[in-house]
Amino acid sequence: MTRRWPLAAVAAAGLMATAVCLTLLRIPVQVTDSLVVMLQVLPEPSAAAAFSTFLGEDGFLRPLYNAQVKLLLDVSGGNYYVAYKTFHVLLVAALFALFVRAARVENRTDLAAFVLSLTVLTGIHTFTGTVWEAYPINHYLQVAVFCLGAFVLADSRGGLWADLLAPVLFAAAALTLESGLLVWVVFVSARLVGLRGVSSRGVALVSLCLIAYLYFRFVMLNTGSPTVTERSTGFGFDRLDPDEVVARFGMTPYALYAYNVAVSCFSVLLSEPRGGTWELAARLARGQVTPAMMVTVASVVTGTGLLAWVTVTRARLWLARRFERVDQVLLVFLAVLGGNAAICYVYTKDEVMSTAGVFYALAVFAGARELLRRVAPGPRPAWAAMALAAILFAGAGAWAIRSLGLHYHMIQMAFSIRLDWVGVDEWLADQKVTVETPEQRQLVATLRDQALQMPVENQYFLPRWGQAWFR
Amino acid sequence: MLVMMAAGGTRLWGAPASLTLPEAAALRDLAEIVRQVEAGVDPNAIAHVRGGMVRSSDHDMTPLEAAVGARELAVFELLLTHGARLDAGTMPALVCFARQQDADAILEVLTTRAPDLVPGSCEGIRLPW
Repeated sequence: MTRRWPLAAVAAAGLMATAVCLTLLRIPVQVTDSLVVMLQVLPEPSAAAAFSTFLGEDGFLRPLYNAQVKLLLDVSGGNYYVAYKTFHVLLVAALFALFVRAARVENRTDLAAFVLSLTVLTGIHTFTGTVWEAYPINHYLQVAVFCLGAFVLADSRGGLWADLLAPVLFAAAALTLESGLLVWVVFVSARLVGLRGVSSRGVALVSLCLIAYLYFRFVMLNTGSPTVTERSTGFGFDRLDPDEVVARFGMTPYALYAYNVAVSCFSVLLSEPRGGTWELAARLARGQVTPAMMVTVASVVTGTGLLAWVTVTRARLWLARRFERVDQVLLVFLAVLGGNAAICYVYTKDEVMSTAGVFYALAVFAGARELLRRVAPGPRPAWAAMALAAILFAGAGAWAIRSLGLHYHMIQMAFSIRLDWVGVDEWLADQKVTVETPEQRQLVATLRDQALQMPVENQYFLPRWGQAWFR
Repeated sequence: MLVMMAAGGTRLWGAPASLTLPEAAALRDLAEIVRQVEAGVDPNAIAHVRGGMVRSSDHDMTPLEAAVGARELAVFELLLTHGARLDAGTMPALVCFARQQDADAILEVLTTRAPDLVPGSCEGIRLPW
């Protein structure tokens, strides 16, 4: 096998990752979702102390996330922007590196499919939140990296090191964010479809860790789960506030849970609804057709259409438990999709589905490669070849537009986030957060200064057509 | 496809355009206003505003005038808390300009804050346009 094509894949991924990181670096550390966490961990004497303090949060178990926030605060030396953005860039780089490794590009055909999948990876709406949001550490991106790492481990030659690394990966992911439990889903599903990098003993070890996590969380710590009273969620054509959710569904809204799980799956497969709300359908009902809608439809027809084609043509082989590479990737994606959607049962958000979005891109790669390998080279009428080429071109173009839209939205967000820092004191008051110590005041002042000093593009200078084309 | 991405992206990654303080006011860029004022830019100084930001043609105006021209109450109030002056020298033109622009919310702030300085007539008062 020539090394030219794998290296070209690395170069393509490097170019895309660099583009994402350059735009990411233009966004200040945000106020909402980030500042309060930083203020909370600041008084802790160490990252280890932050870890133990945040073991007992109501509804959440994310001690490793809080410990990391504290660690970066401590090592930043006051330059918080540099510390958190450097970490964010490293996470993006890790994601792209693992994506290249997971794809395993071998020849020119693979490379063509891989380039398409890169636009899917960065163009799907679930990716946006992993790069413009900070928290100040983007734990959704971290979980996506952990899960992709788990897939690569399962896809490796294996050995003792893989079996030992697997539970470590699971523990790190699970203690960072609840979605980290998806690492277990990846290991188990990969094993079931014949990826042997992690042995059955290793998978059993990870499963034991899962049981220990559940016991620790629900019995020992009695942390529980988030409830419907904590956040608003999309339903139908509207968004419901917690009070409205309770009024409509009660405190144990099983119908809403089922809705959330179902629409979370649709959101990845159909790019709609977004956050549980059927925006595109609502606009269509009002007769508002925009280029962005056409782009969404074209991209979904290509991406999910490819996956549907693979499913239809290979389902019989699956039932006979005969799995090739394309089957393995697609089935692991479906398992991750189901697991990720299940995690969204209380409320659904695009970024929570980001791990499924990453695996969707990987599955599209596998599907496109399968199509190009099996269908493209065969003898067929000229019109059929042209139709296939036209469909692929339109789909690839649509994904490229969505990928470009990521940068457009990130620059819009940079402006909005910088604006938030002007009213940070009022925002903290609204959140009933008191900045008490001199260190906390210094933290807020420094972050505010760093945000205001950042050169951020005013939205006036962004191309007007972006509003119509990027959704 | 990658070339198209890179080309389009590069335009988006270009260095942000620099703004004068009145331009920042016209474009509701509160953060840029605060940054410039804290860096020592005079919030009462007349500066250039490029065509398209408030009107189709270029104009020279103060930040407060730009806020009135764009009917941006939040910007107007922010400027007042960051050193922009409302006095006998600035009030008549601002009030008359707010009337001309139908900037009712800003007009209300002006008349409430300094009712003694509200002119009876706008005749002979120089306005940005």
